[in-house]
Amino acid sequence: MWQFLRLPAAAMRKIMMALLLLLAPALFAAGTLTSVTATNKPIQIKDHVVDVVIDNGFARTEVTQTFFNPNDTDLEAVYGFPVPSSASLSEITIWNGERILNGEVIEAKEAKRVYAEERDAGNDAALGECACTKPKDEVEYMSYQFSVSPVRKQSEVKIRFVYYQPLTIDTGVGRYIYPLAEGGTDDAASSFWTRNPKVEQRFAVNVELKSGWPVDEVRVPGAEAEVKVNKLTDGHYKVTLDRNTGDLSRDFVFYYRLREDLPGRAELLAYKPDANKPGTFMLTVTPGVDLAPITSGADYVFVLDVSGSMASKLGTLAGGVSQTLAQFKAGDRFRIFVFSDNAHELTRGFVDVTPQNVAEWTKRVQQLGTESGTNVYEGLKAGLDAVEADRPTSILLVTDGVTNEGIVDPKAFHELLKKYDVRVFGFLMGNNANWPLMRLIAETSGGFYAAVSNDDDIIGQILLAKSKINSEALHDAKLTVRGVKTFDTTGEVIGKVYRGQQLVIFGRYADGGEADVTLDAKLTGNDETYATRFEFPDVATQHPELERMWALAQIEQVVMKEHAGLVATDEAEHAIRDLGVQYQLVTDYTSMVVLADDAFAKRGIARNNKQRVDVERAAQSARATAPPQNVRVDRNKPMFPGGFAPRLKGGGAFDPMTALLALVAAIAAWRLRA
Amino acid sequence: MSFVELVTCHFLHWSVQHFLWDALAFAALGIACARRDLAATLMTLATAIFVIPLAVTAFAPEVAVYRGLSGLDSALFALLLVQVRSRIALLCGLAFIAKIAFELTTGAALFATNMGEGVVAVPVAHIAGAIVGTITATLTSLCGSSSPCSSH
Repeated sequence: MWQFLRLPAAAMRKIMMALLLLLAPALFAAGTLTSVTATNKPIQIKDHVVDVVIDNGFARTEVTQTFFNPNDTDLEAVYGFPVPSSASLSEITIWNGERILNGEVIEAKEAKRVYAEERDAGNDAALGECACTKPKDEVEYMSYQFSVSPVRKQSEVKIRFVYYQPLTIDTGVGRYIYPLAEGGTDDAASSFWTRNPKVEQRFAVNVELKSGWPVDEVRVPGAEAEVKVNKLTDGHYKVTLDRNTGDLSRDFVFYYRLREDLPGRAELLAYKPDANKPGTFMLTVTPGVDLAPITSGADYVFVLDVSGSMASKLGTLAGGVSQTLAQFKAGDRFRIFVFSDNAHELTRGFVDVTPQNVAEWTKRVQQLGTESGTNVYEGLKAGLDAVEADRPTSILLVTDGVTNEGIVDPKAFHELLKKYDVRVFGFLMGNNANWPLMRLIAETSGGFYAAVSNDDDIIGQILLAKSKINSEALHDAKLTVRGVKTFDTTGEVIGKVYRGQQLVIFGRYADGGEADVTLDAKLTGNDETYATRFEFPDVATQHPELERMWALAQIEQVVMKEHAGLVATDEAEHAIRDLGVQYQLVTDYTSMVVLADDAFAKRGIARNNKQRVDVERAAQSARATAPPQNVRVDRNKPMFPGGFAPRLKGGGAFDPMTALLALVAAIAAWRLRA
Repeated sequence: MSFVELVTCHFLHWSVQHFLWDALAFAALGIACARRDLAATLMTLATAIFVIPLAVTAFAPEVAVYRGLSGLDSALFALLLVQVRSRIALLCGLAFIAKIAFELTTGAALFATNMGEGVVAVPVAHIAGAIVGTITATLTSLCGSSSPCSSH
């Protein structure tokens, strides 16, 4: 075809990328999907309402939307949206006319077969699939896809889905993202589907934030004028964004900033409905350690992805790099590499940080254009080779991590990074990005990575990253729990802990009781121990969702081990499938088939998810009316005495009952005296 | 902590509700104690006003700012209970000890008190106050008079 057009392939690719950029708003969005060959009008989204509750370290997102079929024939509706970070999709409910359908997670191929049979028989059915970490036929990479059949002619179908995800606080700032913008990382899917991101009527996002710690400010970047913020108490906010029409092409990003100078702390959520059965916990440790800034000059090597899949994110990338350069101080140096099919250096060796140099290279980065493929390995290797051993150096890798050129095996990245003693800090751009590869790169090198949305406060993200890179870190950090038997934990071997970083450990425990929890680490060469003691409850019923989040953390750990070559692919598949079915999670190997109750009974599919959902909804109802709870567990023996500039407020209070007691005693004394 | 902060922390509160119940208890206990033994009451308050914030600083170092009358309430409560020595007083005393023990072991308030967002209960203030009240009551009782021992 290139010969026919008489244009070289490279030039043609550039033209294609330019066209893709022009089409970006339509292509890169969540929305209903229609085959590119279809002649029907696309299924419409009538309304799209998102209800989010952020409560003590995790978020519950419930999305309710109505599809409308404007055609004169019954159709199948297909809806795709990016997989949110560490999200466990747990519920799908469909209202099709009078019928209510609910979802059960089973093995993916079996789910697809069941759905196809029901659909072909003309029965109401739906299917929720995920290409969570692996490419899958007809499902966009790193996306969830829902298929609903039939949407009857000129009729509506309502769908509701729910997912949970843990949220961490970074340097006192919490961030929640409802991802909508597609990353544009899956060319095959983009060429198969056309997308309809338009919401015909109501688009609304309602966020309820319940924090056990006072919140100074909440913010929705890009929608400040539209959102209504209702502050109920210091830690309880309701934020609403309500539009008459909308489109699903931009992420919804919500920030909340805790009051400054809160103490370091340990917080525990547990779920153990039966004293005789193991429980599940989520332990969040916020180190209150004064990590001093590094004052000596340092080197920074930028490795920037300018491949085709970065087309819609290049503006964000350029803006981010420009603002990062502006943050550097005299004495620092930088070099810039870019990569697509292969890597090359923009600068010629290290450049000293001066106002002139920063201005010049800012301009050069802003002029970058995209090229074709993505050879992350080549780019990373070029950056690593550029490091000079006698100065502290950090590599700043900015990419969506979609490798499709050169060496693509994650194990090779693992081996490459082990040869160098350089920290790689990753900025993972957009949704549908390859988090397993970026996490592998960051963890192997002892760095960290941050996922960045196009709708993020980029400067905020950069400042957070900068405070980590420019400050001392805790090394060889390890969290130990003694006194209570814990198992199947994730995240207890931490490695480095950066400034402001929160540690989240999921695990299971056999019996409740008092536990000694210790964080051992090295700080500027000295061994440091931060210890506390608190109770793991024998019975706790408030947070049943913890089981699903623990299972997802296990799955992510298995994926990481598979990528690093520590677990065989078939073994990983087996483990993920078992966890997915047992804890009712949609994964690469498990899908949610949505049927009417009688159809489940007829097919003999167990209602495991229904049982879980019933328990979760009961707990959520009980929590809904309660004020925000502070779940700090190290009050009696603070894990970080002194903390970083602690400003914890304390009070001795006579509650009404005690005051009444005092009153009775006073009256009794008065009468005796009389 | 400066001298001014040491003294004034008792009279500052985090919320209206926090102030209301503390002040009610302070008024009731203060009148009852003063009516029985003014000198012992003043001695208790004069000692507790310093001991409580110092105890909070020493035993609850994570608390940077302490506020509330309840430490002084506890001191007066203990003073009254030891002085009165009736069955009702004993029951009230046991209930009060149980409340403090619960707060100490769980780190949470036994009954919901709206001290304000992010304000943590500091049971050590109640314990310190109760100890001061008990010691003062015992000393005055041993001296056989409401006056300071030295006056005999």
